[in-house]
Amino acid sequence: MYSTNEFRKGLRIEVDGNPYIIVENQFVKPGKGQAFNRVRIKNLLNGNTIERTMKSGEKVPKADIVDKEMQYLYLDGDKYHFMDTQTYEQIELTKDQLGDNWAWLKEQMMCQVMLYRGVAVSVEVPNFVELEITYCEPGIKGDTATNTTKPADMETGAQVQVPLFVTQGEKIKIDTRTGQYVERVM
Amino acid sequence: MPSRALKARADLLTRLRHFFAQRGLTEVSTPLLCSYPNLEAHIDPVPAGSNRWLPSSPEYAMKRLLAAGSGSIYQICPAFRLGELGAKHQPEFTLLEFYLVAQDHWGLMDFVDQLLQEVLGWPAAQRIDYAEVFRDTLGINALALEMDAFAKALKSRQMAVPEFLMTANTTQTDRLDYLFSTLIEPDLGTDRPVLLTGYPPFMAALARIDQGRAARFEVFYRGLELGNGFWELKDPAEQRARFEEANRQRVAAGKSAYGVDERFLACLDQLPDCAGIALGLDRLLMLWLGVDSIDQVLTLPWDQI
Repeated sequence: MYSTNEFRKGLRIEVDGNPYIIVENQFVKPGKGQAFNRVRIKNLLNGNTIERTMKSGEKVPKADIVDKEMQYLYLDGDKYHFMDTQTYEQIELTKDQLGDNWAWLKEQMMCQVMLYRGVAVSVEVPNFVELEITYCEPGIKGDTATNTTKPADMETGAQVQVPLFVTQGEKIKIDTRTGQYVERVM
Repeated sequence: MPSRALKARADLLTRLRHFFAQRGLTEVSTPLLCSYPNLEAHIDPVPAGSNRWLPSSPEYAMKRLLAAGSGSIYQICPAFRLGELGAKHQPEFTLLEFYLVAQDHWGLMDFVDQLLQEVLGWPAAQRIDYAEVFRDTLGINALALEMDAFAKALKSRQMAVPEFLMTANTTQTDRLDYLFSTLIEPDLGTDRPVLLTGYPPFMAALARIDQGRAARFEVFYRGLELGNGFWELKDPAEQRARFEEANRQRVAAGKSAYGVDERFLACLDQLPDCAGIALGLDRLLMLWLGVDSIDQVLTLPWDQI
């Protein structure tokens, strides 16, 4: 259990039988009056954000959440397969559960899989990934401007805007939080 | 803490001491290790070793000095409140507390208004009536708040009614405080400081009752509560009854009851007519510097010591 006194951004709590993460915690107390915590919490299963008010000092259960480092193996139909490299235990996630992160998954990549009550519910990919360009329009040599871009298809199926001088077959570094090109990898 | 805040704090202390000296108040220092905690329903004291407590305000000790003939006094000291931590709260913070002999809460309001203008350079304060602000903002009678009216006020604004405020353990004061801090306070004192007065008699705390209202006021500026002022209660029997009520509420909420400071009660007979206020010095600094978190004005915040 967590007391409201321990509330902080990022803490994962169980509310009405669902796992939530605290997005914002506000401690409110009129001088001599009853204190309360107004929290904004995000449902870890469906992403919905709600607001709750709790009496300060109240106790709230911890969400039964475990983060596990797992290796992405392969895609089979609609299922993305991951493996615990210590125990060889395997789990699968659907494209829906991955959200936008499916676009950065490359075989052998290590990811953080979130388990709720022992069942995988979502995955976090590294902040930066290096992927190969499988197709883009030919590069313009010497054009080093980075403000003009063209679309490029990645080996994972994602599409990323890249500068004109970048060519097909090259590897680039991408920020997965923004989906943006960072630099060429030599 | 940026050096700007460090210098501003030092500057504010110098200006305050100058302001009080000019008006003939004596600066005092009362002990921080007390035999009894301040007895409040909703403020939890910080224990300090065996049978000692850190004060949540230096009020009891300062009133004993007043009763012994100190004349008007002020104190700038640390105060302690267990578990109060947030953007506007720290378990250890600084209070500016002072008492004016031979003044009531109206005279004290004028004095506070002068202080805010002269020391901090703020505009002249506006006096607002507690019942009026509830009526005008929420259409509610704050002097007699029904449970239904409370729930309706929140529901009509698409706000959830917190379950913990609908139980028998909570009071009308708890519900008024909730409405106030949620729906009124954030917009209070946008342009100039507000001195809110005319609190219901059941919210008197350590104030007298005057013409059916508690003789006290609170100070707000830009949505932030800055202080709580009283025309001080001098009746030991009434004070004892309020302490007992605070203990009753504490026990009902599953908290410990505390012993009553008999030395404090005994001094009330000799207390001169006076009005007193505690202002949160860190919050004054927050507004003075235009920052929105108390961490930004402390030398070392709670999570870094």
